[in-house]
Amino acid sequence: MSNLQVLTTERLNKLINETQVTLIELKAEVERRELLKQEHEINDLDHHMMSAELNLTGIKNFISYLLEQSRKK
Amino acid sequence: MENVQAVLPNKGESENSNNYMQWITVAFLVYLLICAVGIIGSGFKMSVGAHAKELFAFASNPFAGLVVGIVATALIQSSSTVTSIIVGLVAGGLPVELAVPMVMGANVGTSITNTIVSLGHVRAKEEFKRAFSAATVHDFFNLLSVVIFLPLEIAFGFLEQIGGWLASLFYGAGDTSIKGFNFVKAATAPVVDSFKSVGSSLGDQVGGVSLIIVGILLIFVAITLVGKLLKKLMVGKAKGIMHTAIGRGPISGITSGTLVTILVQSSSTTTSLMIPLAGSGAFKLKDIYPFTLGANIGTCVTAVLAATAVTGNAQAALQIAFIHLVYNILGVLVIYGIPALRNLPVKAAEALGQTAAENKFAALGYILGVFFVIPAVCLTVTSIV
Repeated sequence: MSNLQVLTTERLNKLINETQVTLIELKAEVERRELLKQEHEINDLDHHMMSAELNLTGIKNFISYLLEQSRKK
Repeated sequence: MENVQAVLPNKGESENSNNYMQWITVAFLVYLLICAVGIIGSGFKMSVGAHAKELFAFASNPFAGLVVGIVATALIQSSSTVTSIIVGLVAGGLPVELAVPMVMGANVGTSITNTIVSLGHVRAKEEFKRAFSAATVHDFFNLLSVVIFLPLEIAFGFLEQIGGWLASLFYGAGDTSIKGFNFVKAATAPVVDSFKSVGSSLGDQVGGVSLIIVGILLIFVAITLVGKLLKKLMVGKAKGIMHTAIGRGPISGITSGTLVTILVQSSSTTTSLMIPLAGSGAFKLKDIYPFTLGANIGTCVTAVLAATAVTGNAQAALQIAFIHLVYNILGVLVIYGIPALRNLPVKAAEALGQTAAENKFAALGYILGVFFVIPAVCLTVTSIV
């Protein structure tokens, strides 16, 4: 876009409008993909319910991770 | 082959009968929960008599009551259990004004569960940052709620007044009997009375304390098993509710959080469910936050249910149950409703998540500090002073 200064004002305004429309479309597509990802995760709710359960294994893994980190130091 | 098919049960039919049995079990466990609350109330009244206020004199300092609520709930891992116990104690004579800070503390203490669940993501830094932030936004919201409402309650007693007014609608001003026949109380009376008569045979003190212990155990068992069953039974409905809430804004998020929590009868389940969803990156903190607030409201149903069939000071029991509900609704309206306050828990959670992701010992220090060390120190100081 190094030749901006040679473009007419009307052309610049047209480019601005086109860019704004493109930006809106890009944002809509990103939002669509995010919502789709959320829907996929909710479809997996059974699996997430299992991983969300509080159990000793999770706590043990955390403690063993801390011990690993402290040994590295 | 046709003969085999005629002999073997249809898979759909056996699933239906399995579901049917599970629902019957849920109904029985809810019945057990309500009986257990009545048993606690009776046991407390039997052992303490008219001296409840002296026994709980230490909790006359509302800060001590708050700490008791936090530590008890953090240890038991269930705000529904603790608030049901509190309802039973109030029915047995515990003054409502002493119970209010305990209920606030139960709100704070229950947020430890999803924080511990988030530790499971510790080996993936970015995932852990997201999960820990999603967990601690609940902690910070509940702490902010206490900071705002406990001083106001101490100064004005407004929650007690609102709860009292709501309870009076069911019991009538100055009249402690519910107008009309109380079916739930009649259904639970035989079980509660049986336990009472066994307790009486042991003497007031021993019998009363035994009833309290039995009641607490029964509540814990009932709520734990109901939670496990409802998780299985309601996961489909929960999916449907969450699907409809996607992309529809915070009010929808709060409503769906409330509904899912009512369905599974556990705020810990609902808020813990958000952790893997946040960890995966599919849900941002701003999506998780309203859902978590809805869980705070939905969990209040258990205490209201528990208060429906207590004997003794039934109106006070219903009052504390309504106080729990009003406190959580007001918390959402005030903190989420006021733009200046709304993002405070989010910013705090994001900062803590970033810190914990860099240094995992900070996560451990936070959990031990906020839920155990600081409350224990405060309780010790309060008892000395």
